[in-house]
Amino acid sequence: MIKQHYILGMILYFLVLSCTGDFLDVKPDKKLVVPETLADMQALLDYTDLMNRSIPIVDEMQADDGYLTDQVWNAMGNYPDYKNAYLWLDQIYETKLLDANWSVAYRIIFQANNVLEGLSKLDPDQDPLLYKRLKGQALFFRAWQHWRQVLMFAPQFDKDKSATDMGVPMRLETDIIAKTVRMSVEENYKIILMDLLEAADLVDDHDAVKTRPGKAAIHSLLARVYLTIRQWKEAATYADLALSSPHYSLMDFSTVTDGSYPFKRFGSEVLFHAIANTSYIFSSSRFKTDPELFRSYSVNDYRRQLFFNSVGEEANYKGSYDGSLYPFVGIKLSECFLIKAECEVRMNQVEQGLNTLSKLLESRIEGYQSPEGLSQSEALNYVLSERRKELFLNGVRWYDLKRLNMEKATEKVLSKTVLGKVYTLEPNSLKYIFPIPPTVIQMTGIPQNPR
Amino acid sequence: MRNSIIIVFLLFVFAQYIQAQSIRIGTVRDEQGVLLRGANLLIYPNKINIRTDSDGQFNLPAEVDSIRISKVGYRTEVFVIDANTPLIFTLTSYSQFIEEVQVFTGYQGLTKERQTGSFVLVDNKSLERRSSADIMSRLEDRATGLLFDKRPTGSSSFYVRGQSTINSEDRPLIILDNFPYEGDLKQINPNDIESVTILKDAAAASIWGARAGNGVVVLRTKQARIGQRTAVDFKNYYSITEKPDLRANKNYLPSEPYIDVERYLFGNGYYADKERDLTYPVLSPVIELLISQRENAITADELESQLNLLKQLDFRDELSRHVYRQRGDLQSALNIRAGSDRLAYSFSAGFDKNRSEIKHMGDKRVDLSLSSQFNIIPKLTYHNTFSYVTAKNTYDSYVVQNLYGAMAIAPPYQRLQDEQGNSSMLWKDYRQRYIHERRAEGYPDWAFYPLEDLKNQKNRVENNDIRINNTLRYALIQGLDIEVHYQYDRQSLDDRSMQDQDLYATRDLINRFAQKDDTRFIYPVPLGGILDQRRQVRTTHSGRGQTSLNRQWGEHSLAGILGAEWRKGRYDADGNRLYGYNDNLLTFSSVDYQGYYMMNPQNYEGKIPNTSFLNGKIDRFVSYYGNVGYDLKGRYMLSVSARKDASNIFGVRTNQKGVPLWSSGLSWNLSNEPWYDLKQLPYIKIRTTYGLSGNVNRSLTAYSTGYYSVSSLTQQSYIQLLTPPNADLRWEKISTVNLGLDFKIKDNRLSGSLDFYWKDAKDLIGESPLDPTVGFSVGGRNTFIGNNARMKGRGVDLNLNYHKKWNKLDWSTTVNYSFSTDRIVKYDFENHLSAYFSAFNAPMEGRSRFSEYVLAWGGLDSENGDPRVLLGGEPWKDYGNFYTKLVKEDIKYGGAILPRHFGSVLTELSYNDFQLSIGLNYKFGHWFRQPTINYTDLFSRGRGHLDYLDRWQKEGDELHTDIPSRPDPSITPMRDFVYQYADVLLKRADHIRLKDVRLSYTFSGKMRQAFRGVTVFGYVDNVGLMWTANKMNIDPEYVLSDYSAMRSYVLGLDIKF
Repeated sequence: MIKQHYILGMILYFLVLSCTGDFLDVKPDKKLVVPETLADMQALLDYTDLMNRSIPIVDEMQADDGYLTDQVWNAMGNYPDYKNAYLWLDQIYETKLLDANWSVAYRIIFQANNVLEGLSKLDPDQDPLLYKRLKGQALFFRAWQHWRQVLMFAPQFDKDKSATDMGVPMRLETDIIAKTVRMSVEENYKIILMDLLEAADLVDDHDAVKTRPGKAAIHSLLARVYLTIRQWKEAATYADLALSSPHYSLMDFSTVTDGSYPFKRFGSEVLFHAIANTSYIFSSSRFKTDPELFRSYSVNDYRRQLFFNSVGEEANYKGSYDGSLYPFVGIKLSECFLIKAECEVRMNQVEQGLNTLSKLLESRIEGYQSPEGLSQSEALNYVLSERRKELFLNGVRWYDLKRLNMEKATEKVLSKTVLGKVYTLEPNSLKYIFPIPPTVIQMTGIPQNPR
Repeated sequence: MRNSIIIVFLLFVFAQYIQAQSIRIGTVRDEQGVLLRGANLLIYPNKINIRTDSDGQFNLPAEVDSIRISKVGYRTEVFVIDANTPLIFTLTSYSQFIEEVQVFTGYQGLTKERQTGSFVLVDNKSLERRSSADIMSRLEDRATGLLFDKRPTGSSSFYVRGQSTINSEDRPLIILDNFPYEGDLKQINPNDIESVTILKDAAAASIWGARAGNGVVVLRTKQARIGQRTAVDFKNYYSITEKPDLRANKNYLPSEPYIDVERYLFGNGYYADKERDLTYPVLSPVIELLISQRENAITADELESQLNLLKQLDFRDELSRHVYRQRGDLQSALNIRAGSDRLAYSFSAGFDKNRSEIKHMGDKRVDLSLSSQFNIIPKLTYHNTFSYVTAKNTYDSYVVQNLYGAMAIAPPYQRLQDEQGNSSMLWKDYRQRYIHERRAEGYPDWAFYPLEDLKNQKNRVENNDIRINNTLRYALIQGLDIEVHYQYDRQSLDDRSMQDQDLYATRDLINRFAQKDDTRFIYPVPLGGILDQRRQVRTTHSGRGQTSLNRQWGEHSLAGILGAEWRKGRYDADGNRLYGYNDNLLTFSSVDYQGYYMMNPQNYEGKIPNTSFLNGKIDRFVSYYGNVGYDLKGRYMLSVSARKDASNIFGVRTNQKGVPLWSSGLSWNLSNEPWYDLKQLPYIKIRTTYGLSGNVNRSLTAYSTGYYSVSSLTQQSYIQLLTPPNADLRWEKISTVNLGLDFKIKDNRLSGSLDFYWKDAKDLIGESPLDPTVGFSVGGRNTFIGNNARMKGRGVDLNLNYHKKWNKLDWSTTVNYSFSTDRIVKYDFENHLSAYFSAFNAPMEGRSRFSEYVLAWGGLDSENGDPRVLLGGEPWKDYGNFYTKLVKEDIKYGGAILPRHFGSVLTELSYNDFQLSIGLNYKFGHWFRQPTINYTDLFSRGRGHLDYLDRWQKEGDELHTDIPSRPDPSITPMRDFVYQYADVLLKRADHIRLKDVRLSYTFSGKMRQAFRGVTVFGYVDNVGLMWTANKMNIDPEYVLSDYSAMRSYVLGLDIKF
């Protein structure tokens, strides 16, 4: 009797067992999603906190746009790595604070690769325009971050040495197990340009959401990349293409109202919005503007008031295009003017170059008059100094220094004094190549940059 | 014809007589003469097996030379039978030696003495000894292995047998009656709890499978039982707790030295930046006076006289007078039981009201429950419990934290109320000048009056719980039951915070967004109140089908259960905020959440806070389980249990192929051996168990995760945190070996149990470092989170009960001692050295889960009193470069944070109708870091410490003090850091506490006629610390809290009809 009851029980249990499959197939958290649709892909790219708002900016700490007082530098006990970077020391890493400098790029690239792989599983005919746009935007993010890595962790592109210079690892798929190897600088740029050129064709003209790149943003990035590798013609062409977009226009600085942060976010000059991820160091009262640079803004220059809070010669930057204390490191229209102008001058079209420049400076300086009778080298210096003034704390100066140091005419020695000790950085110094985090070297075995 | 009938009838009678003649009847009874039914008899030589009937009688067959009689609960005996043996057989019961204790696992009731596992039962009498409103505090000190952690940062507040996990849930599983309880423990009425069973080792707990890894606490409510006596029980308790003692807290600097520090900082230009700051950050009254004097608005003499007035004030007096009060609690409970032979019910009602130690705050709880048992037809019973609890709590959301505690901003010369009784202002956020200017311009008042806000806040949380538990049990045949259970429970929380415009927080938000346009005002955050609402609802359905077997035949007995259960739970939460709220008219305004507004005074753009959120979680569990206990001769016991869990929080591979969790145990009742002769030790049993239980981690998922959110920057939906799927995500596995001994000494003078246990926790959720170049991370960390860590633990639990009686005086003492230690064996993630000093206790291989690390102290610099630590063996003070110089060898292991040895001693004395009981508890083997002055906190936030008064001030002081000198205002925080983590501040946390004293009197005599019992008692809780290892008399349990547990006095009445 007992046996029969047990058998019955057993049968019942197995019946129950067989129909539990669906019962357990429920997401434990309703907010969880397995990204599968086109909308999901867009949402992955729209993760602005990662994609647009955590760009590292340790490069500005090393450049000459500004400085920290001894007191401020000394009180940064909790940020030793930043302190070391500031002084271009041999040893920079003490904590894991600057690991993000390496890893954020790859996280953005990972997100982009997920989109590309996700798209490859979807049918483009569902919504061909959206599909192409998403693909183009993903390629942009990937190329942009790879390019930033090359700028930071590899030597300046030199076409004679790029095939052998150590570049950075590139990730073109989401595979976790894929081995990390450093490619040559030449390889790096080849892939970056390939991605960008493909993206430029796919993307729409303009995206209303400025954290997503439109065609003009991609063209600007192409112009930037070509500028870095010193291909002036291509750079000028793409800068021009970006400038020809009807969706963006220069702001007349005479009409901008002053205030704590005069420039509102997503203004008409913003082609692509991105900001840096640290406020502590660049908050207004800490990072002071280089006095010589500040002096170079003439009295008629609106930027003197709008970009800076100043007491005498001491100035703090407030002109971020984010309308806050976070530095803007995206792409703005004025940069395209500057690229075009510089390239035109370099190609010996001095008149044209200065003309391009004046279109920008008209909106910046009251009663602007373009200088006359400048030689090519004078014009170049002029354009470069205007570039410096316009692109203050935009995350470009360090890389400009790197590329300008390739020519005797435009090279510069940097120097700082902290707690009585003087630190200098020579133009051809290895210190321009940032060391890779020890964690990464440990885990991957890739060669470290020489110091 | 008639004759035949007579003959047949006579034959019948004759036959009966003959039968009667040759059948002898035996009787089995116990020592009290109680007849024993159902006793088993094995009759030799033919080995005939019979049982006694309901009169304890049996028929002796003709051929018999000896009988062996056995019955559960009695010593088995063999009786030799001859012609003259009287046929009355007496068995001696075990209950003379042991009270058979009934423990409940949530699946079945078990007799503890017949188990191999390690159980602790806290009975009703022990639970009734205390009068607190929550059940957990009544359990403290009453069970070995149960440790209460009073630290404010502790994740669980109690542990069973220490830590068995690193990153996952570490709280023991709570079972209420027969299903897990996930709600707020404060919602359970302790007077409704009959007993608590703690399942400690694998044999006890593994029946709960993947959730039992941290131990199981089973709460059993008072159940109706058919045949119960009608009874009414009424309880009423009043309790008063002393006002918090603010003077015991050393995180305070009296006004005079405080003002001295402010003058020092002012003289050093520390406030210069703040004075120029266009956001007008607040400056204290003293600083404003110093500024006025500097600007010649007041003379130096006026300044001094003002400062002298302030030096007399002590903010703690203000707090004590206006913010704190004695806490009062009232508890009433009523329980009525009645029934017939087919229906029984037990009805409970409870009311708890508490007047908080913070003025105007408090809570109330009402709970009702009805338990009934109904015999539908013979063999089919139905149990039902219906319970409803509703509680309301009025709380302070921001006032007190501004006044007292780690985040306080009030200087020690602050007043809360002036001599006329008007509420004083506390300068907060902005400078007075700025506030006055705005007021003059017509902005709403921007001043903060703490006492007003404390009084006018309207924040309340309501908790409503319903639980309906049903059981249907059918006795198939004798010894085999089947039962079906179903429970529905719903817990809802409703938090409503109504912030009128008269509250500072509301006016501040309105003003920050207010726009002035020449003469007009525009209020993006509208005038009026702000209503914040937050709701969460948890609904669970649980079902179970189970067969239970309970059979005995001869010397063997077998008890077992086999069942399947499922559980479906839903958790939904949402919150929102309404601006411009008017509580009288129930109107509110709409706001623009998209637009950017220029804010005052920061003059940057911000958006109006949108605090709305939604959350939803779903739990699914399906499990199969069984256990069986086999008992031979009442001497040898074998137990086996197994359980297989499947859940939607595990990976697919785990659900399909996961190995069940199981346990096995053996025990041997030595004293029941026929050769066992020790009369001094009438009961001794050895047991050993081994098994596996599990632990889950709800924050992880096996799915590829993306969470949808909406960006505040772009208003677009986005997915973040993409992680790859982990089909192998599984529960953590904890294996435990337990070795135990239970004993009783003659006359029940001394009894107890001793357990040794070893735990090995594998497949713990841990992190492995991952190449950052791969690009995926969890929470921004490049780690792979999976089941890849391991830890071990071991311990001892000892329980001793001593009892002695002289005439009318009865004395008993219970001693509990536990030893518990743990060690992380494998944890791949190498944290940065700074993690050793983090409040979050990064796990380190080779160390206890919660450990304290320190630096070697190098004394104070004799020239300037700077603190130095030994790095590389040398005194060092280059604070800015601390992490550059620090190597792992410089970091010393300080000790465990949770006690290694802990327990309690409870002594009870009864004399006639009086009873006195004294309870003390002790904790040893742990450490804490003594709080001290932190100059960075002092300068930037005004948070002082009395150590400041004993600091180094001149050369030579370093010989008698370790407290660093006051530094330059711009000094790096690392200077404070090295002193705070110096080994000179690491102190032993050992202490012995006199926990409580209870004196009761039970009325007898005339009263007895009307009532079954009337007891009045007085009870004092938190009597005081008896001894601490640290010489400063710091109470280690409360060293991180703002004030310790104050003494409470309770007066109680318990009437039983």
